[in-house]
Amino acid sequence: MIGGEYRLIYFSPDPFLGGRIPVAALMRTAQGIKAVSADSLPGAQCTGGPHMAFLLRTAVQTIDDDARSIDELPPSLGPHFSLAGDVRSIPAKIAKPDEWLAKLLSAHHAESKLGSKGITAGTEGRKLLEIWGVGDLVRNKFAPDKTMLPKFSGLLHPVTHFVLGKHLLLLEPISSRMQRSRVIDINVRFGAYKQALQQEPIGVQYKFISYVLPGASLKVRDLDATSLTFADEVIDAQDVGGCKQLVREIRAAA
Amino acid sequence: VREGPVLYPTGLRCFPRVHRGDRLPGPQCNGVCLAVDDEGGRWVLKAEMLGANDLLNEAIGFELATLLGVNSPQPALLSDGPSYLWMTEFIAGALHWHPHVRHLVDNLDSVGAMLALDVVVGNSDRHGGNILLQAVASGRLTAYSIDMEQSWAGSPDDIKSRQPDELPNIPAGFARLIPLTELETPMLAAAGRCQSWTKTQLGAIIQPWCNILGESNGPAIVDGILLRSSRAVRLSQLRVEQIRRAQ
Repeated sequence: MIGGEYRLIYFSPDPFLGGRIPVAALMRTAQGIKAVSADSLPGAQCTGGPHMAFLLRTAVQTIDDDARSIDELPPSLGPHFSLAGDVRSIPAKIAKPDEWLAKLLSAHHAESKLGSKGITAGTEGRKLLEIWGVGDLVRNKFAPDKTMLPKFSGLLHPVTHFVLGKHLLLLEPISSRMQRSRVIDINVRFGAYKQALQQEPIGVQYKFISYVLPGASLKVRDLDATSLTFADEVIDAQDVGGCKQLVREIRAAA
Repeated sequence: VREGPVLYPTGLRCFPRVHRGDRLPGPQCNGVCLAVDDEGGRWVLKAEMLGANDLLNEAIGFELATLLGVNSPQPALLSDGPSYLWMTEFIAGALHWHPHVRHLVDNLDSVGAMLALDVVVGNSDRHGGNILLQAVASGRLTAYSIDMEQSWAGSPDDIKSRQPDELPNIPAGFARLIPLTELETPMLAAAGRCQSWTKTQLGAIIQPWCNILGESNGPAIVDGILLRSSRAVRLSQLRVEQIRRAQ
């Protein structure tokens, strides 16, 4: 009878923030202990930059060499990795458990990728801004280029909306379809931009705001300090007061 | 409460407080937690109280590593009543040592030098978890030495009592992971540099730490390290033989 047990290995792009992504598993079958990783791993946009994506790829290459038990992480993995959750069963009817696990892990990343498409939240956010009469002040997609943060050109994923006038305002909407892991991606991106702006000042002050769109299942109260630590403000645009506050911020920056 | 970090003459930062976070995740990360200072600096805090000599082990290990060109994270102290806790800057994006990725490491010389330093200061806690490999954007890894707490150098009695050829323990499992063909030459070269250390030079970097941490017999520590450093090549050769036997 085929079957067995496994535990998931999680990758945390930033241990200080706490978000984590399942990237591999330790599997125990009748054949012994084996490590299995996802067929496709999260890329630079999800992990906090090209160096973190490189770290993840490199780490995954070493896992199988050192897998001794499903209760212990391979020692070469550093502080970005953790073993969490219960031991789970592999269904007995599965003939190739390693392929099954790899597919399971890859399916998770495919879902994350789908959920991370900025266009849905961006479009919803744009609609809200237009309803409130500030759509013309807000531009789409802030990213480093030859004139702004040139050292980081091509390295940072764009921020969905921005206002550049008296100061720089970076805006990220949070939509109803957004998974919590995507919120953490936004935070990691804000953190990366903050670091970039500290290293290459642009001559104006900057502020990072995330706003929760109407209908979102995530409430502002759920976005605790560990989720959006790099946002200067999280605005609840699900009520009129929050929308007015957002409008004030945009007009002040324009 | 003092506001902001105190800057000691050595350039060492001492924080009156930090915001403690979760335990550091990952394997081989026991007894340490994440911490953030008031300026947003990120640290790894050894949450368990160390004795003054253990702190000196860390401090002397860091100073001599710097002298020898061994990459180490910047340390700091956290005030904890009348004593201190040890912190080092958080090295983001790091793995632990694994021989299969050594071709990606851009400072293998530094890894060789840390092996030489271990035999000089008597560090018995060198294992894969105490070598960090930080991923950098260019697709390379940069090695860092961490955790020198379990060495002989911070205790005058301990370092003085050691036999001339005595080596600190090295875990057999780790010895098998050391690629001697690549590390022996930089290890012996670093040992050669250790032999040129002078009493004045060592006193200048060790005595300020003794003053901060209340060790009254700093000169004995300097003498003990000087004696071992004068035999660094011999000690490193013995270590190479020891590693070779384990492999």
